[in-house]
Amino acid sequence: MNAKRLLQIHTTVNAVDRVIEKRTMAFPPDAGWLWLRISELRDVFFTEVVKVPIQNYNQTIEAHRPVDDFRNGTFWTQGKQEEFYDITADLDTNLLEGYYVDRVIAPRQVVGLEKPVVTLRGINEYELKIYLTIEV
Amino acid sequence: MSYKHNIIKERFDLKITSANEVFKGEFELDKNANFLIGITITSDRDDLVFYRGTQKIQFNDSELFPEGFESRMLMAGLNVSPNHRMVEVGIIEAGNGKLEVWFKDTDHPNTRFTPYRVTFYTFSKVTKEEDC
Repeated sequence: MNAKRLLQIHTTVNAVDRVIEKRTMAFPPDAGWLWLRISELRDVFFTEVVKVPIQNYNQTIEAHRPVDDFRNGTFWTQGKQEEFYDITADLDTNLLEGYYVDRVIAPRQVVGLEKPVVTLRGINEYELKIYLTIEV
Repeated sequence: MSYKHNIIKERFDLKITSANEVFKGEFELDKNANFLIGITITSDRDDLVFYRGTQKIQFNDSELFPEGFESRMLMAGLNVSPNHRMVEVGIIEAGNGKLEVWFKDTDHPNTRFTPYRVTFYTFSKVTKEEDC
């Protein structure tokens, strides 16, 4: 209510992607696409491809990855600290609006096929969290 | 606790013994810890904390992190230099610093619950000056 300025943004999802459970991926797949805007700035001021969290993201060299140590809970996380995206937006109102396109649960249409093919990547509903650092 | 370079590092443990519950921890900082500057989280089961953990953290009755703030935002791994694993919180006057934590465990399909430990490390300064 008393926010004067928006300083940082960070987004997370707790989605599960069934596909990545079955294979080793160096990079997390998209969970969805997010656009945000505030009335003080014209058009979209923030957009992000939100990723499904996987614990082995940010590894430096894949060949050096220990064998599934994270899943066994025997070692530290390998990822980097999550960081907020710095932004400075002066606020006149406390209204933040935007839209989000899901890429995990939503059915996909495979190019070249006549009928949509429903993928089963997402196995549950999930929560998109938008963290804001605001100056009051 | 140690006093290297004027920074006091302290460790507080919270045992998470049942799923989908909130566990409260209340910890007192060292009496010489006059300014809280950072915090970080580790665990004996990083995977559980990463996927299941959220927490609210208060310091001297002022909110540092709101309810629902994901624990993974406060974690750092081997890819992070040890000197950068602390999450900075500014320079908060501590006095007789009291750290309160409400840690919430929530089911996640990627994990199966087993009791685990969440460890909170605090980094405090004796004096405000940068180099002492």
